[in-house]
Amino acid sequence: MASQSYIDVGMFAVIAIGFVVVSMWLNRVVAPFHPDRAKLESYECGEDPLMDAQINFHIRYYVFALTFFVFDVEAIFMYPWAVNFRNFGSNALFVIVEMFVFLVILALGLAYAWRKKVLQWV
Amino acid sequence: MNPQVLLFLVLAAITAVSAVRVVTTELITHAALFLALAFVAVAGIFLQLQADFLAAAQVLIYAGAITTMIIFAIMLSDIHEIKPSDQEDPFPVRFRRRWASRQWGFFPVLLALLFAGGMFWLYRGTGFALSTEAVSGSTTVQLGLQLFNEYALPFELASILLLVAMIGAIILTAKEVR
Amino acid sequence: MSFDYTLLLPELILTALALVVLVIDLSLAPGKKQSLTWITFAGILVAMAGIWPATQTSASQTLSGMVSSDGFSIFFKVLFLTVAALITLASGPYLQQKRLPVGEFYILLLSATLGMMFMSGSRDLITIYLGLELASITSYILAGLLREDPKSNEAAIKYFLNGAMASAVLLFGLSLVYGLTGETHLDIIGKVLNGDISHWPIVGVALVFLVAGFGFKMAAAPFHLWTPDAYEGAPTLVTAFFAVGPKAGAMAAVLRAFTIGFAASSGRWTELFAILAVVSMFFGNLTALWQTNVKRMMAYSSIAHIGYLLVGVTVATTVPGVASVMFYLLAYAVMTLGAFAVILAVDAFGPGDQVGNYAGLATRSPLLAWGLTLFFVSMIGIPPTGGFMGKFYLFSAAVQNGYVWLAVVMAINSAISVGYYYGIVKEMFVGKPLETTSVKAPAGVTAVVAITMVVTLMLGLYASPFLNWATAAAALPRFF
Repeated sequence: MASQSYIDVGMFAVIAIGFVVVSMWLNRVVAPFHPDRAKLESYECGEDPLMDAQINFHIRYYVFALTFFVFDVEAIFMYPWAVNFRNFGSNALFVIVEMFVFLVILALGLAYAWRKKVLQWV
Repeated sequence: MNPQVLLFLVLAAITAVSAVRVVTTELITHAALFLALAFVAVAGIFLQLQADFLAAAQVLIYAGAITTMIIFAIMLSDIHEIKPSDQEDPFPVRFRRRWASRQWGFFPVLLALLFAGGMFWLYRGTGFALSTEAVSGSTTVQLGLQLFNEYALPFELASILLLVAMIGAIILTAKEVR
Repeated sequence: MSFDYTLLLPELILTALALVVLVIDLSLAPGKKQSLTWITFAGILVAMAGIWPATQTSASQTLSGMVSSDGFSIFFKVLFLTVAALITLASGPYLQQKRLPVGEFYILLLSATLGMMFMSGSRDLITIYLGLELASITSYILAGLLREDPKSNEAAIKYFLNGAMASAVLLFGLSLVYGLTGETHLDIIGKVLNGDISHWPIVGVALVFLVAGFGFKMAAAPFHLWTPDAYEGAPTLVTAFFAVGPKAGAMAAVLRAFTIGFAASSGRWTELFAILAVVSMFFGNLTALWQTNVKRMMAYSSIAHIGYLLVGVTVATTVPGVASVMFYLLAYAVMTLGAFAVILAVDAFGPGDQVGNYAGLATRSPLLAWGLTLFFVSMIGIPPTGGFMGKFYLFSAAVQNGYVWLAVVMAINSAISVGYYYGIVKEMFVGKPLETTSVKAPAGVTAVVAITMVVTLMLGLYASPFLNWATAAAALPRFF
């Protein structure tokens, strides 16, 4: 069965989850626990924590997230293209042009975001 | 029990339970994280079906990018918790609330179970078209050959769809687009 | 890999046009973008000319049979490009007045048109779905273009949530079809689903999901809930577009997908469409009677018109059935665009979009008033208009195939619809105007009103060439 090859993936997942669980459990068992007000505060590298953790982000970040998302999808499409590049044979030119067109269309999206100044920090 | 079936049941249970938690938890960030868990469990099911590329794409795009987007959207808004409002709701909202409230919470679950049961009953009598070809190695190669030859047109259409989505997001959210 | 470029020429020109508009938009200074209107308009005309080579070749399918450029899709391509051209013609001063982003409007309009063209030309579920999403997502964005207007935001979010839900329902149905047949190509699906398998209950479930999904996209009752708010809140020009474009696209996809892919199960889906038709007609017409906002009224009236069209879909297993739907879509597109051009003029350049705002329009702007009267006469289905001929063909197609009761329901509904159209006509000719100055409609909008008036009359008086064209397109041997 072909799914045999995923046993190592499963084992990896079990070990990864187990590592977290075991180390946290061990910590709970071994470490002394004497809480006071100062100790229970969130750790902010020495600063006093102020206000809620969930502050409102500026809406500008949403465009960054979306731009990232679009190019993430693009990367996913490029992967099977790159892996297969030698297998396309006589069709190689068509496939190169195809990917080029795809990239140009998405690059226009980036150019649009850039010209509309949504990528500007301030 | 067959370990394959057992694994599937575990993954399916994780998916279903986290999907229910997405709509029942009161903290919106928790809802987003449960959604991510559901996506990862679905990726596990894809892996079981030997669709390794799809599983990787599911983790990268859904569990990674889409969950990030959703958390961004939550951080943009003022709402962090779903609280019942003190005001008396107008009739249709009150009616809907009652059906969605805790004591009636079983109703949507019952509906979902009925639907799932019905579909299961229908699937059982059906000879689905099963592929007889054995999958050897990674599916990425086969997928790429199909995607860039036979499905070239949908591939290019997808790029226009992504471009339009990007332009749309920018004009609807960015300040002063002229 | 055979790729016949001539068959996809209009689509390629339209894509290139959208990208060119994007690049020019980026290079122009803000506020100096009026030239884009004419570039877009000229480009659409070039794309329409690009249909010509495809009519000259004998080949009709390209890209592994994924898209076909047969008479059916050519008919719809002409329709969609005409809609896009008329919207562009009316757009310039409106975009300026409402301070909408000019370049983006045209890019979205062209992309939506591209999506609709793929919906009519696809022979594969994947391309149908992608075309549908392209047309839908651009429509959601267009509906929300008036960012400072909460009603526009509401329109966009309601349209989006309902549309996303519809996509999910449709995809579930498509996944069942793929699971049953192992194929996404409509011809092969049609072959596999032929025979015993077409009686399986699961096929019926898949059909219910598909009908519901497409029903949402076409806004057929009871899947119409987004329509009134989306129509009212969206910029009027956009409302004009999605009252016609995406609905005609969904109708083309329905005609192709159901008659090729599910021809063997036609007994089941025709019943479903008959139910949708009756509910849409009665619901649309009866609710429209109570509206005081003209855009909302048009929303309910469009639900009723989808009901009339679905009468034709019910008998779409026959050539007259498909041809009558195509002819009525043509008439519907023309009269709806004309009516919305008048509504746009009265809304953006005149008093507003309430029924009361039309008081005395006949003395203020006779052309607009007579135009709207003609379009309403056509929508009711009174000769000598395109709407009458369209309803006549739908009626006779239904009667020929034994759906006499459906034809009777249609006639009753046409009578009901007189009630709300008459209200506005009476207001225009009898009501006392608050102002006496004429409505300053821009030249482009007036041109659209004039063109659609002429075509509406032409479809009524010289219907046979158009009907012959639709019949020839519907009777293609490859289509059934």
